[in-house]
Amino acid sequence: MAKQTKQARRGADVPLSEELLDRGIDLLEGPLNRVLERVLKSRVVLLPIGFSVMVTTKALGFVLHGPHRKERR
Amino acid sequence: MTATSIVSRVASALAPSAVLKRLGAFDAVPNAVARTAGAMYLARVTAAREPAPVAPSPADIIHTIGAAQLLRYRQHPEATHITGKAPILLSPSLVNRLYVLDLKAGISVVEQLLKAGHPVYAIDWGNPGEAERGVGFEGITARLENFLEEACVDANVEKMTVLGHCLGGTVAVALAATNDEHLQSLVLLTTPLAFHDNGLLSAWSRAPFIDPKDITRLVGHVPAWLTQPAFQILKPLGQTTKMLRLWQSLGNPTFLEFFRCLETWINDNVAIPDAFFEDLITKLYQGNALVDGTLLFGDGPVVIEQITVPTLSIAASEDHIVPFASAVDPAQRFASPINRQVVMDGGHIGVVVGSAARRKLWPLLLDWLAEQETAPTPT
Repeated sequence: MAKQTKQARRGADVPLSEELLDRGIDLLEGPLNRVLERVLKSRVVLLPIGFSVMVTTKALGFVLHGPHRKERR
Repeated sequence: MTATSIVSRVASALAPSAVLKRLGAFDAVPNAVARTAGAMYLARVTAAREPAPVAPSPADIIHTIGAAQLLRYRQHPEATHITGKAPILLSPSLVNRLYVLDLKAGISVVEQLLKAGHPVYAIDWGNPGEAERGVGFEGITARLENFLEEACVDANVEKMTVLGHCLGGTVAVALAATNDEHLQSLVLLTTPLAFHDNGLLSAWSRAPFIDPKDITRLVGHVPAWLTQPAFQILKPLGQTTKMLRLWQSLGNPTFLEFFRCLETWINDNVAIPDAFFEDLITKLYQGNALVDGTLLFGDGPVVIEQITVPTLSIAASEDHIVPFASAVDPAQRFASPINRQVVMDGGHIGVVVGSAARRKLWPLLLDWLAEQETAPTPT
C-alpha cells in the first residue's frame, strides 16, 4: 500500500521520462564523474601528458622562438 | 463488480478529458511546446548575437595601471539617502572577468552592496598586454596595494575592506601579510591558500615534467583558449550534464536568461600574465609557498601568520577548483583577533551566483561590513 502511494505520488509529480533523465544526470555527475577524475589524476595519465606537454612546448619554443619577456617586475 | 460499475468505469475512461490526459495533452504536450519555445529563444538570441544582460551596475574608471582598471560603481537609486556606510574594494580572480560579482540584475553581489548604501570599488584586471609582461605575483600584489590606496583617497577613508574572490583573494592575503596599512578587513571568497590538495587542478599543476616557463616562452601571456579547456575538464562530465540540465529546463525562461548570463561569463576568460602564471604554478601549486612561508617578496617572506586584520573566509563545500579545506584550513593560522571561517553549500561559482548566495552570502557580507563600520576614519 505504502509502495503504491509512493509510486502514485512520484507519478503525479514527475513524469517517468523526466525522472529517468534526472537519475541519469545524477549518475553522470556523481559516481561516473568521480571515477573519471580519479583516472585523470592517476600517474598513468599524468606522466605521459606531462611528458608530451614538455616535449611539445620545448620543441615549438625552439622552432618558433616564442615571445621574449622583459625583466620580471 | 456490478454491471453498473463496469459501465461507469468504461464511461469515465472514455471521457474526453481522460482521453486527452492519457494522450499527454496536459503535461507532455505543454512541456514539449515550452521546450520548443525555449530552444527557439536560445537559437534567436544566438543568431542575432544579442548580448546577455551581464554586468548591469554602472561604474566609472578612476585609475589605471597597464591593462588593469580601478572602477567606482555609481550609487544605487534606492540608496541615495544612505551615508556613512563602510566602503569595499573587490579584487576578482585574474583568470575570469570581474562581472561574476555583478552577473545580472537580481543576481549581483555588487548590486546588493550598493543597495545597502556601501560605496563599492572593484578592480578589473583586464586582458594583459605589453605592460603586464614580466609582472609576477609580487607585481600584481603591488598593483592591488596601489589600487587600494587610490580607492581610500577617493572614498576619503584611511582603510577599506577588501573582498578577494578566488585568486584575487590569494593576492589580497599576500598584501595583508606584507602591508595592511590601508586594510580595514579582509573577506576571502573561495580563495585558494593551500595548493597541495586532492583536486584535479592541483594534480595537473604538479604533474611530472610540467614547467610553466616552457609554456610562457611559447605563448607569452597564457591565453584563454589554453586555460578554458583545462577548466572545463576539471569536471570531466560537466559539459554533458550541463547540456542535459539545459534540456530539462528549456521551458523555464528565468533559467534560460540566467544560463545565458552565466555561460557568457564562463566563456569570457582573460589571459593570465606570463610571470604571474609561472609564479602560480611553480611557487604556489608546486611549491605550496604561501602556506609553507617560502614565498619571497623583495622585502622578505610572505608570512600568513602575520595577518592581523579581521578576516572572514568563505568556502564552498562542493568546490572542484578550490577544495574547501584549501581555503579555510590555512586561514585558521592568521593572527587576526577576529578570524571566521564559513563553509557554504554549493560549488565554486554556485556560492556567488546560486540560490545560496541570496540566502547566505549576501546577508553574511552585509553583516560583516556593518561590524566594520565603526572603524573607518576620515583622512
